[in-house]
Amino acid sequence: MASDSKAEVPYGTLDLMILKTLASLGTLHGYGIARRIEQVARGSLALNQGTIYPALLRLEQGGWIRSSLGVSENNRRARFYEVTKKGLRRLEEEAANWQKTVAMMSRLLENER
Amino acid sequence: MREWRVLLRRLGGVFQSGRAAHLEEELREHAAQLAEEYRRQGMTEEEAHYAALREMGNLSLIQQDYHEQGGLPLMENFWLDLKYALRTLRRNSSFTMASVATLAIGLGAMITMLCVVSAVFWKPLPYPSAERLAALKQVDPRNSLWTFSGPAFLDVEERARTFSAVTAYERRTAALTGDGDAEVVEAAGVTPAFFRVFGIHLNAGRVLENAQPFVVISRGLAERKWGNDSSPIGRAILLDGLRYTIAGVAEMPIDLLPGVDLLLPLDLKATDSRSARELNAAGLLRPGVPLGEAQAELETIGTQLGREFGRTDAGWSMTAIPLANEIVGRRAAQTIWMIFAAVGLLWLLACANVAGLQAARSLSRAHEISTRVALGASKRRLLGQTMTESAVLAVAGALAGAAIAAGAVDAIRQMGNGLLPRVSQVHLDGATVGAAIGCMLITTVISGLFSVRTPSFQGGREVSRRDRGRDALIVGQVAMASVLLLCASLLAESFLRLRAADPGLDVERVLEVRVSLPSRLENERAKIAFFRDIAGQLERLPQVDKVGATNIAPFSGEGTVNRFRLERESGSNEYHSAAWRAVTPEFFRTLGIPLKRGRLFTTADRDGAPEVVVVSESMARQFWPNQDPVGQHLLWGSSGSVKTVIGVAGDIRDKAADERPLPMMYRPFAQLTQAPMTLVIKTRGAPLVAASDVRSAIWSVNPDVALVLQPMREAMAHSILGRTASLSAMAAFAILAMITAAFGLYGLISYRVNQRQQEIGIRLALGATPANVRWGVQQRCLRLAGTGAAIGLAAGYLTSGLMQSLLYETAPTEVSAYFAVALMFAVVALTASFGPAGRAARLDPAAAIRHE
Repeated sequence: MASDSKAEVPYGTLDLMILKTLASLGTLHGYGIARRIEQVARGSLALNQGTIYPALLRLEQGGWIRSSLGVSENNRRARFYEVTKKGLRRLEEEAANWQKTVAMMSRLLENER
Repeated sequence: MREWRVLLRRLGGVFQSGRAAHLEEELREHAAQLAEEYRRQGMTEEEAHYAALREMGNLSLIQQDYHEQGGLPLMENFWLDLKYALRTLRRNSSFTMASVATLAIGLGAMITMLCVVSAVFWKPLPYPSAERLAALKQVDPRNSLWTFSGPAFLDVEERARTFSAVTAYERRTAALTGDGDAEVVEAAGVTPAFFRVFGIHLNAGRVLENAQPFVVISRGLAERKWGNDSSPIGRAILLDGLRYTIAGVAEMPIDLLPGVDLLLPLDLKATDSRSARELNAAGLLRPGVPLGEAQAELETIGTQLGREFGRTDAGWSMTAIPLANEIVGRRAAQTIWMIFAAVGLLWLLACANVAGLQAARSLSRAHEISTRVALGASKRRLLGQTMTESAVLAVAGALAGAAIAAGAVDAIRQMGNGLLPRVSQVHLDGATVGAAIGCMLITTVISGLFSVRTPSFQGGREVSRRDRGRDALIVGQVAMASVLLLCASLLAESFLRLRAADPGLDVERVLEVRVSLPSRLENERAKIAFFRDIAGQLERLPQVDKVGATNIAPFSGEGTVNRFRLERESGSNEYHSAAWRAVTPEFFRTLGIPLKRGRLFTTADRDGAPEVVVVSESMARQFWPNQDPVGQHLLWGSSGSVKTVIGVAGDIRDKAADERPLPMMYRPFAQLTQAPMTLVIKTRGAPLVAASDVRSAIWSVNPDVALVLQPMREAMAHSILGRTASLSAMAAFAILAMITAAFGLYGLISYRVNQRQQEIGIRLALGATPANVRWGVQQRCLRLAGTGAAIGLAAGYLTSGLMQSLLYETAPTEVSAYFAVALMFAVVALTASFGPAGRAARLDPAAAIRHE
């Protein structure tokens, strides 16, 4: 399945993707988050879906998201994640940083060409 | 920012085992949902299952990630390492015991000395504004520091502006009578400002005023004498027969005046002698005034006094030094630093020893370690494990060491009085415990790192190069031990010479009795009669052989000095000085002091008869060289009254056994009546057996005298107690160091023999005799010990000059001491290698070659 056209997940961006997903869609379980990211990436991202779980734990330890146990749409026990206020602030900061980085990178690459 | 909160959560995670189970459920659920999705897209059940797993990624890696994120891997490893270390250490109990014991001794000694050093040098004096306290000194034309004369002190009190207050104080003993049993108390005469300068806290009553017959006593004395309930204030007591009233009860400044129970007014007069410089003086600097300014002012005052009182003070100056230096004293400071250095070496030696033991053991675990390396254990994990093991050893050693130190510190506080300045401040406290923990950490790192630098960790079998490191370790141990041993043997040499030194008097079967005279005996005639009566009573006792008396208790460290001129110098202002004693005629015979020329005193040399003096041999040699001193005259003191020399007696050292005899002038007690006096009684049996009869005989003459009895041999031993104590401490450390180094040598040589079994086997098979092999092993051990001892002795040679002032008639370069140390280590090396060498010689060549 993996082909050359798929990009690896850039280091440190997975946290941002998860935060953004939770911020726009509200409460989700792990599978929902992974699906949403895949959808948005439209097949251009080689994401091992399992890797979002250590990331979720890291975000929770930082206090940017919180989780609770609940029941999924097909009546199974699942852990649901939602973003905290602190997480929203961080998302804003990180998004701004990301934008800056992207702008800088594209300027740099334009000039190089 | 909020790192600690994350850390806290992770720490919590260590103890939450449920989390991992949840993850597994979450992952399973996730995969199931993915699979269902794929099925809906048209895959078969099986295809969908595998596609989902592929999409999830490496599950065990994720779980590992999750686990590490969830907890603190370092800490979990630590738990594992700790369990593992405890298990291995328990299994190698002899190694563990040896290491812990070595570390305990090293750390225990280190902690104890840290307590001593911090008490003596680092803790501020326990007085308010301690940093403003200074000791005042007179400085002679040769720049030596002296205590103050009374009039000079009064001048400073009047003229000095840089001090808020200055005080003079002088220690003495006083016979306390009039209420209960007569006893001798340690006392100090002080000027009224004493209380202000040292901020002395009164429990009750008030401070002293000038020249009033009032005293301030310690709470200890108050409780001992009058119990807790009744207030002693206002009570009348007799001190040396003079009447005083108790004005107050106070906390005594024990650092300054250890053992003192009573303060009484010190009566100073401007007309007192300016050449009797016997008062301690101290001052409290005005706030903000630096010591240098006070020193400059004192110098100016000293110069003024030199002009005003040229006869006594010309060329003299004054200065101030920090009070703490004065209290500790140079000799004590040197001794303490020397012992501290010794303990430091002992501690390093212990670390090196444990490192050596650990390294040897890690080699025997080479197989285990290389297996683990092959299985993928990271170097960091292995290092962590070794470090944990050394840490466990260090902690155990530190705990045992702290227990040793607690005992030692207690013992020092109890026995160190008079030996160690500021001994009351010696205790285990936060700072010293902190320093001990520091020592422990260093111990861990040193011993841990050494064992990491072993071939098993490097994964190779390339042994010879690594051996050099271990050789260096053992050479270092022997070097450190030999430095200690050298210091100890120099001190021992001094001590033996001191013991063999002839004090010039016979101390066997002599009882010293300090007698404080009742003041009712005011006139001299009564005093003389009193001592004649006592001597008469004592001589009637069957245990008593002879009875003499002197104004200075032999070996009490006290002495009296006076100025004199020779007859031909009567017009001169230049004086000589010599020690003097007022003695009874029997004094010389009682102590076996030989008469060299002329005659000794008789009862005819009494008040009114021609004034006579007996001089010591060294005085005769110095002042009447190549002449007969008998019949010569000298001019006594500044009055210049003429005394005739009637005899020459042998030199004695009665001040302290280690002080060279000064030129000495003896005067008959009947012509120079002194009080208090010390009786010297030659007994027929053991001196203390006669003690109670002696007491009652004296009290039968007068029940109001206070007596202190001591066999003279004890007094003499006491006068060199400081030397004895520092020698014993150094000797103990040196012997411990030698034993430690011997164990190190033994361990290394045995290890070496084990390692070379194969080679030795081949050599035996090729015809080497067992004697060859044995000697080869011993030679190696001798070479290592020899190198170490040579380095140690060279280092000792370079540093032993520092010890000069602690030695007695022993040069720091004394050849015999060096020789003794070298010999000692030759013996140690041969002993340590005896077992391993024997084992090597007995090896069965066939078995040894097959080995491995």
